[in-house]
Amino acid sequence: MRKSYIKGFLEDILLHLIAEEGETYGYALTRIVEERTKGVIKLNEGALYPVLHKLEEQGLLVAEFKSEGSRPRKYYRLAPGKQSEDYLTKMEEELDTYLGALQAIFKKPNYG
Amino acid sequence: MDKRKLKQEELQEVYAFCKRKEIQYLELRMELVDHIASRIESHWEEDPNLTFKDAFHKVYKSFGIFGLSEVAEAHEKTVAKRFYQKAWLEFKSWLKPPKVMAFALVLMLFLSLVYYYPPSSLALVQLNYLVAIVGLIFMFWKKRSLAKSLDGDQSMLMGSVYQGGIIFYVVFMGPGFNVLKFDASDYLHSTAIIHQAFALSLTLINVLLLVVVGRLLQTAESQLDELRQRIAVYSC
Repeated sequence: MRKSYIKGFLEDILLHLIAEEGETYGYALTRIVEERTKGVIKLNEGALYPVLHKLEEQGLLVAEFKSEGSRPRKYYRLAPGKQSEDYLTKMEEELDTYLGALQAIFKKPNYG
Repeated sequence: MDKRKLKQEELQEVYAFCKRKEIQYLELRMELVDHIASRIESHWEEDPNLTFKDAFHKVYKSFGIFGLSEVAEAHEKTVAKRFYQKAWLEFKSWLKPPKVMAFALVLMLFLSLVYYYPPSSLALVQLNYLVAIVGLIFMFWKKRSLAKSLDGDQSMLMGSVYQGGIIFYVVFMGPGFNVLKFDASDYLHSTAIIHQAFALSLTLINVLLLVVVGRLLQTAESQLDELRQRIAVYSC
């Protein structure tokens, strides 16, 4: 799988999964993506954390450290309020349209 | 059977490794330690007989040569952004009527003072330098004392303060600041008002930077206890 495919959609993937999970952390996100896509998409740390931190800085996510066993773990959740909900709704609508458009292009291979 | 978890000394080893790899901000270091630990534990789920060293090596190898430094580099941008966000919020709060009126009043006071008593401009310039230097020394001292209580480490907020220092230096040492320098006669010139307003604006930028840095350090200090508690698990 080309890295550029994932890069373009990483923000959307993470926001969607975090909204769905309610509250989750970096490593769990990599597992969820890997399990759901049966290993087709693998998130690497170098891409995952910068995007999570960027979304946090943008105010779309809020993060909090909690203790998991003996070690601290940083949990992310969607920021409360209209801004993040509206962003998510708009993002999912745009994604639907875009995926539909891509399918329309790639559905019928006709190479002459 | 209970899942195999990392022991404290193993966690300490991962933590020390991240520190060696120059993951300098504690929040990021804790997050990456948890990530690496979780991946090691997932290797143990597949192969419970794997040693800690082998599992750790596997995880590190999968990061690639630049894996950790990529994360650290990208994180620097987030840290810098935090400063600019804070500065922007502070600046917006200054645009409210009482503060704008206070600024206009100070400007008028300065202008009247140097107009009726030109030698006072020298005192104002010196006062400006004095405030800036005292402010900077205080910032460095405060940041150092915070870092000391974290065994030389720093939090994201403490790191973001550097941005303020850089802009401060550029503004203070830049050519724009020359209009403030020891030329009292110039204050009676026709361009005096423009010069004064410009110089005062630059001074205000520096005051803004000092205020933002001060507030960031204050917040960093209030988070110190919690941070110390969280990293306690990693200290020997």
